[in-house]
Amino acid sequence: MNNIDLETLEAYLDGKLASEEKILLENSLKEDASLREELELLKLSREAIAMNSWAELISGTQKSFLKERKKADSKANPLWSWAGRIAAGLSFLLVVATVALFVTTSQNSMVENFYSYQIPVMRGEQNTFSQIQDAYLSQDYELIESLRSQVSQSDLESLFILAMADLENEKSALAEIILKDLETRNSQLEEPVFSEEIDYYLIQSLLQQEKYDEAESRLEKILQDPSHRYFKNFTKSDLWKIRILKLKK
Amino acid sequence: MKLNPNFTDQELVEMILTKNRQNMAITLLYRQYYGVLENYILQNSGSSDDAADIIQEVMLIFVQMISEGKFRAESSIKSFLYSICRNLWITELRKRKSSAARQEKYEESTEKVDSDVSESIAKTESLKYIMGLFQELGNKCKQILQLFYYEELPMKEICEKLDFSSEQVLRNKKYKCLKSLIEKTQASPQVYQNLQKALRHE
Repeated sequence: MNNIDLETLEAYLDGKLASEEKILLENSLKEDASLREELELLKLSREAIAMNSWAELISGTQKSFLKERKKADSKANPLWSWAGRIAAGLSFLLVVATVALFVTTSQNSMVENFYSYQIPVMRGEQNTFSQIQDAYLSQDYELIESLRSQVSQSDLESLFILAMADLENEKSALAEIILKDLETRNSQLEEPVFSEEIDYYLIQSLLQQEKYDEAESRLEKILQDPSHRYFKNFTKSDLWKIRILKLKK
Repeated sequence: MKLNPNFTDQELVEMILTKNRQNMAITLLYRQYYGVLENYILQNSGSSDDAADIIQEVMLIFVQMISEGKFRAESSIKSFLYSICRNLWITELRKRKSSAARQEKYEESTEKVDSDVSESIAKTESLKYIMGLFQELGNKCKQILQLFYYEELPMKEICEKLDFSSEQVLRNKKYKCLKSLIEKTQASPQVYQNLQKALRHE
């Protein structure tokens, strides 16, 4: 260690040493490595103290600058900024809803939403039912099956019940044949029977058979007619579901 | 605050060197060059957070180089800042072992500036370490040393400002504070190694 103090080294750096002292110190610096180190450390420390203030000034300026820039950006485009966020949110929801719809839509989930046909029963009045109607009311579909050959082709009501029993028994191809036959005959009648029910249950039978194209067009027909009895049973989302089933198929 | 951007490069350098309106000078540097420097980082595999960190250091090194007289009048502030930024970012990418650093091409025309910049970057590393040690000093010490070495106020003024009973008391206190900082620095192997390297080159 040397015996030259810090104040002398500072005075040397600031050019405040008398010339004799300066020469002496410079001679010592030439010979003493630790003194050179000490002088260098002093220089660095003085610089670091000054730089610390600059660093604080720069850091503060940067924070203000970035804050102002952010404010200016949002002021320049507040509408787009909000519209963008809303659009992004809606797009996200749409994607989530589409994915959920795609995943949850199945043939079963669609068919399960169809109501079984209910034979109208008048309360307080004496109701008379045919044998096939009785069997349908008591859900005795085996009995209905055994009566199939006895049903007259002119008995449109019984034929309709037969088709409904076929749907219950998941014989949708048979149901489709009967219902389409009834539909053809209705077109020749002045007073069509079960025409709206036929529209509704044909869709069910087509979906059960995965005939989605025809089911889609028949559903579109119902959705275009607000006076249709089954208009309120469907929404446009049902159309999308059928389209998803087509894609899945 | 409305700022007049029509200062020449030399005027801005003078403002920093003489610490006259230095706040305005730094603000103008940010307004004029932050976008350019940020763009460079973003185009070279960096994020906006990387840009913010690097640009803060660019400004510090720029100020340090001005203080040491390393800013040459023939080069523009823009190219100087860009050069510091590029050197710092390449160093950072190398640290991250990014392939982007290997792809970076040096322009021969800026080699001289780059070598000065590289030296300043290395020196700033040591300075930053000492700045960290400075932060560990007591508040009174920090105030005295800042007022003396950054604000360059005379002892008499610091004495009044900080309510010291006499200049001699203040002088003794300042001596102790500086001594304490130097002792902390001497105890740091990192700074000590850099220092010895620098002395060997002399």
